[in-house]
Amino acid sequence: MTTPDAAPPLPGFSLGAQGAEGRIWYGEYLGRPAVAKERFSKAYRHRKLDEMLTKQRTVAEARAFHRMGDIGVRAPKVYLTDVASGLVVMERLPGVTARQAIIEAHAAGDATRVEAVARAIGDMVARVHAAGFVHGDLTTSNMIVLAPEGGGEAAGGGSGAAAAAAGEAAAAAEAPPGGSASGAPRLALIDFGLSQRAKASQLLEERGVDLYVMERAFTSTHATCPEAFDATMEAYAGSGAWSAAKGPASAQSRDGTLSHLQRVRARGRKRMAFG
Amino acid sequence: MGIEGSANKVGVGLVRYTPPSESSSSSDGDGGSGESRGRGTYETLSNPRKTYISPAGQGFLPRETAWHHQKHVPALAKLALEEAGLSLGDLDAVCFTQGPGMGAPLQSCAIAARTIAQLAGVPMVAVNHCVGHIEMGRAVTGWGDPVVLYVSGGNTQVICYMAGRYRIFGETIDIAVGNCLDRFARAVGLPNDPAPGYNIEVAARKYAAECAAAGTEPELFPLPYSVKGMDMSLGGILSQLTRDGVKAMKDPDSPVTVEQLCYALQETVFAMLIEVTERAMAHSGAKDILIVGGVGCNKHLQHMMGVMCSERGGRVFGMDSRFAIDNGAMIAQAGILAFQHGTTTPMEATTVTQRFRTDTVDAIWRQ
Ligand SMILES: Nc1ncnc2c1ncn2[C@@H]1O[C@H](COP(=O)(O)OP(=O)(O)OP(=O)(O)O)[C@@H](O)[C@H]1O
Ligand SMILES: [Mg+2]
Repeated sequence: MTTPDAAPPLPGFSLGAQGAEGRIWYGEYLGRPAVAKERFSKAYRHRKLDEMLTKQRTVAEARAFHRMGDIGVRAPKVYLTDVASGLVVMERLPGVTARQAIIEAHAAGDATRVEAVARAIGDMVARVHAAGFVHGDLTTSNMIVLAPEGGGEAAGGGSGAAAAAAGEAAAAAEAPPGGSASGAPRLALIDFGLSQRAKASQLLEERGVDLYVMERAFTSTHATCPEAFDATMEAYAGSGAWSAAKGPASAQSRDGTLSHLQRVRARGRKRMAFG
Repeated sequence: MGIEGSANKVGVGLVRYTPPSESSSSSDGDGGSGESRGRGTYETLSNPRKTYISPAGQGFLPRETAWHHQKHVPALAKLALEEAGLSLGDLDAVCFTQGPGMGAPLQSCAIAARTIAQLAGVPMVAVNHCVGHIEMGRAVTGWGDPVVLYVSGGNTQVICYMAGRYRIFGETIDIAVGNCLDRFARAVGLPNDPAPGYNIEVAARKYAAECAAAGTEPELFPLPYSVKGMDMSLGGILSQLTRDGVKAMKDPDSPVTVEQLCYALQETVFAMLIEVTERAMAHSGAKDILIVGGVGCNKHLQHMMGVMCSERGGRVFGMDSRFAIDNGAMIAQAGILAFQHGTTTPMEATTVTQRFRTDTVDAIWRQ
């Protein structure tokens, strides 16, 4: 799997990154910039478990585009799915990861931009949650800050560090001076392998855990700018997504979720860590 | 000197630092922690310990465990010095586990540490138990910056060093893996001796071997696989096992055996641990993995991790029991690093704390 000569899943695709779950390939599909995500089998785990997980995650990934489309959250359009081989070919979204955007804005001392990106994250996550879904892996690497309309490199790009650097350069060039001149950043969500429609009885708990995972991702990846997560949560709570009178999209449901987040946090703190 | 007693083991270890000029041939014999990084050598001189084994069907309770530690710690300290051929006057500092752990046992060992420090007239150094595991692992392997999978009775964490601290990238959101194994073992009546997790490992291996001999694929009793980002949940697995698993095992019409349940438990839980570790590797770019904590002794976990690691071109070190299992030398190892960077703990601050997160410690020796 680390072999550089691993065969591309489609002709003309080149290896972008070796993620935890699989390989990310970049190329073109029917003339459009595309990403091929390949979840290969893991030799360390039992065959049946491996097949089940690969299938589950590939299906979840492929479904996300329509699910998200229905609720107005941008996600990559799916071009091709092959469940048996764990392959999903999708639209390559132009932009940089939210992780990169926050780190760069923070490094440049652009607090306004950090806050704008963070707020956009909070609002997007609220919309996903209000619709009864949980993402399952809410890290800032799984969110793309879309390049402004009419240009911009696709996130990732050719291969490895060079591509990342090119992406950064493109982002830097595109970023409006002061960071917020062209209005709120537009975000997209990716990496839906662990996403699911939460069971009604588990909704608050699942959302609480989803937020907890996000909080921990922020505190480990963006340890030096804690204000980012605060802004995210403020926007989450204040999102227009919570406008229904009752049900999962209500303010009441949001409040229940936030108190579940407290509970999940408390579980973490209470856990006695010995042995 | 390091004194550990945060759970059911009590140990006293001695670690010596030898500056570069004097460090001749490395003494890699029995204690085996020759770390040489061009900046001298750390060497474990002695490391005796005792384990409190609770009665069958029971976990260890704070009070009995504290009594056990109180009874053994003076003799262990003496033995540690004797084995090393040293006396109290040779000590430079006494390190002790401040937490996390069980209050009463921690307290007993802290009192012992204060007494010894005062007798020897040397300063004390408070140590975080988890950091002790990590630093001992780094000392043994000589690996600079590994991803650490910390799996024990009370802990399930994936840790990476970042910006001055050991950061917890992933962890269990409910129960710890060792706790899950122990409670399952108790529910199905596997003995606590030598350790419940060990008996699960043996039973699972037996089932896998039987299947291999028969040329069949082992059955995988269905358990909820639950990974959330880099965190995981184990509570569902335990309740499924103690409810449906035990029922199936007792049902004469069902082929499910205790060995099969042990097998499924290990396959499922370990796959989750490895998945989150692999995510942390992908995130941090680190190539090497250190498994620490009591569950790290599990050979099957080490094997599975090895398979994942070799696919990524990395290395894995499942520590042997001398270091994976709680002991005094690991506390001395973390303590000596802090001590060499000017840290001592004034007597009035040598209190203990049951909750003490790894990521609250300033790892000044790494900065
Ligand atoms: N549709 C897409 N458009 C643009 N960039 C993408 C797209 N899909 C993936 N990427 C890039 O590839 C990276 C990895 O993708 P993704 O998160 O889906 O894979 P992964 O293997 O699940 O990664 P991990 O397990 O590390 O989260 C993303 O962080 C992003 O930079
Ligand atoms: Mg991802």
